[in-house]
Amino acid sequence: MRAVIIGVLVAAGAMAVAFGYEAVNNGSTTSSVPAAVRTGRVASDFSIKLFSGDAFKLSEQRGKVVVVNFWASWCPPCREEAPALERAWRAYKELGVVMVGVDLWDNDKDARSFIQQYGLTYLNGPDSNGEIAIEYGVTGLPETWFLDREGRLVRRWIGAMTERQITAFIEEALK
Amino acid sequence: MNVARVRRMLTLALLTAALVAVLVGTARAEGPPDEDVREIGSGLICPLCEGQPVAVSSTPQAQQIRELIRKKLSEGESREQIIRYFVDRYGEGVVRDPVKEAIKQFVGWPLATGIVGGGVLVAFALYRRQSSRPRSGGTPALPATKDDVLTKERPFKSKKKKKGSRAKL
Repeated sequence: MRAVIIGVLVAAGAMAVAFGYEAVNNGSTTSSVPAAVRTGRVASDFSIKLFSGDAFKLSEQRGKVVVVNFWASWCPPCREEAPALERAWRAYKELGVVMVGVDLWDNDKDARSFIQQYGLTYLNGPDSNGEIAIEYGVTGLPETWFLDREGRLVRRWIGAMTERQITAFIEEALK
Repeated sequence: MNVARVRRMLTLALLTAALVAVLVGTARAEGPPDEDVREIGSGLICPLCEGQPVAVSSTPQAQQIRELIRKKLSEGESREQIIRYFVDRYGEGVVRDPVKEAIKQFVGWPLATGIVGGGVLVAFALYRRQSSRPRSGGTPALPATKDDVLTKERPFKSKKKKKGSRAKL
């Protein structure tokens, strides 16, 4: 009987090892930050047609720090954050910092009036099919990515930021 | 060659080409079946929809995810590749019932086996402990007196009486 019990326990241990090995091989290692949105990773390229009519391509900004801000006109924290983003952008644009707003789940009229209302001068365009937001794993608005000169993610922030935070994160990306 | 026959053959060839073009066009326009999109979508939770599956949520994000699933399927990506794509962006939480999945994948069977094994072990230990005890319940501090014997026998006797009374009813 004792031999049976030991056998059962050994089998359980072996199964645990086997399951763990299989899970690791399948890439199911548990990590709090999903693989595609980890800091240090080069952000996926995207193209967007701006509200101004111009085109923007992320990969063409190499050598510059890029701030990608996901927003919507109906999102109250985005309204709270917009003036801070504009001020930070004005303070850093001479240093080669690029700021681009990606408008999500919005209508064109509301988005344009939002830009006008807050006097936003940084680049802005709609993510019409939502593919940029999905590629960047956006889970809430606003969300902002700070990319260094090589396009690597330095900081990802979910929620509204103050001007002080934006400035600190831009400085971090400029280093 | 007869001109009328040539015309007929040309007309037939043109009609066949048109039919093939229509069939190919329709097949391309159809893309992956809705069932495949729904099946993958039902296994994913819309990240902004309070736990609703992508397959049933009417939010813009869920609709866009469904469209992306459709696009990826038509590009030849497998179900596993598509799910992995979303997990890489939204984490394991995007997969429906991740706890159940994790239990099944990581701890389910080994844990169940461990519990059963542990249960068997405990049961065996208890069984051995009980079987090693003397049936009388151990050595009494004092030798049994006549009264003790009578006390022990009384319930047996009264039970017998009860059985008898029940039978009468």
